Amino acid sequence: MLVGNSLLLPSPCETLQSVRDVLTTGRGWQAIGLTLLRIVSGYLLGCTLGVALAVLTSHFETANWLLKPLRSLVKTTPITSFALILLVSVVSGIVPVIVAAIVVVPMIWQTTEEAIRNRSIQLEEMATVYLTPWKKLRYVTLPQILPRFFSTASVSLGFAWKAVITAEILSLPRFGIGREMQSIKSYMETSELFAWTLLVICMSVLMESGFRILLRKAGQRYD
Amino acid sequence: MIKLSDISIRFGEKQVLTNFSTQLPDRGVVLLSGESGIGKTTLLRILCGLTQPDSGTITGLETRKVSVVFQEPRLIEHLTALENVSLVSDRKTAVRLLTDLNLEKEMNQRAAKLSGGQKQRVSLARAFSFSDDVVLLDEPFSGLDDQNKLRAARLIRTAQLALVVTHDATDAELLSADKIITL
Ligand SMILES: Nc1ncnc2c1ncn2[C@@H]1O[C@H](COP(=O)(O)OP(=O)(O)OP(=O)(O)O)[C@@H](O)[C@H]1O
Ligand SMILES: [Mg+2]
Repeated sequence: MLVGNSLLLPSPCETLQSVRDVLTTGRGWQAIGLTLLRIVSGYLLGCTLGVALAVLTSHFETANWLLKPLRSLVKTTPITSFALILLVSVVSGIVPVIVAAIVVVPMIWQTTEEAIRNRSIQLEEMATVYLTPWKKLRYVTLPQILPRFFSTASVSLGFAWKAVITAEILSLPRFGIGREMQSIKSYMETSELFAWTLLVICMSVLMESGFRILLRKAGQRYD
Repeated sequence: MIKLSDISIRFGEKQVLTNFSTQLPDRGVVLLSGESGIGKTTLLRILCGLTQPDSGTITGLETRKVSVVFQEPRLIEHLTALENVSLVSDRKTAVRLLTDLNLEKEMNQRAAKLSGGQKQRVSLARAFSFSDDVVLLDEPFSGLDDQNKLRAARLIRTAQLALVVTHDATDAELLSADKIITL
């Protein structure tokens, strides 16, 4: 059939060969390195902002009333819109970072806010009587919030990957996986496209499972 | 002398305490009784500062260290019995109190795995390891068998001042109270 005809669907062998080609060029590594950097920084930025907003909106009703519609808006707006809007005013290499953050923020924000709101008032009162603010945070508040935070955090990591690659395809920074994929215009190079896709899947799965293992170690105490 | 003067509090439409005044001695065991829903827990919460009264004043507590045995055990479930208690004091005190309450064998079990009566005793141990100066106890005997009631009563009498909410006349006898306040 069409498999093996490298014009349309490359064979696994051809794909692996392309993977090797990518990994033996400096440009390939630069693309991978910069994309990873963008994912990590966008993700961390998103997590930080999401937690900050969650603390704000769970403690102040006015802030909640003002910001909640914004969260719904951000959640429903396509990421391509954000990327294209940002492209007007921001350096192309930074666009994917911001887009990743924009995707991560509402997810982290919402679950963290819910976790903060649902924490046990009874335990908080107990801690007010018996514990210093630091111990209260460490032993009472965080153990109630972190498990839910971490489970969303590991899901949103995958979303950060997709967001960065998509934004790179649109913003075309000098180096980046999305940039490399976009530049594959010729039908002669589908095996390279498959190679990049394979690499992205492998790296994101690796990253997410690494993250999960780390969390399981950290979360063992709270079971 | 601890003085409560003209304490009033309402929750929405419901007036719970109206110009309530009383005095507590500096030392001894004081019982607090009254029918369900009358405001016993509310009064304890006001004394430990978890609830603000709408009006009224409390004097004589400023320099004292207050601990509370809540109506529910309120333990940190993922920590062991010993960790729950030593978190508010030190390990040595915690071990001593847990032993006094017959919890030597359960000390290193997670709170989540303890029975209701065991949790109640851990909660008692926590209160006393934090402070035996002023201890507010909301039905501390609930879920305890006779043997453990005796142990708990013995511990409660070691407090400088214990204010104990109880419905039960025999529990009151067990504590040989110095004063009884009826709401
Ligand atoms: N946070 C609150 N919000 C609204 N109503 C409250 C609140 N806390 C207590 N109440 C009301 O105040 C009244 C007194 O409650 P409280 O818990 O002090 O009673 P209690 O004497 O301890 O009763 P019990 O013996 O059943 O424990 C009740 O009618 C209760 O519904
Ligand atoms: Mg009560």
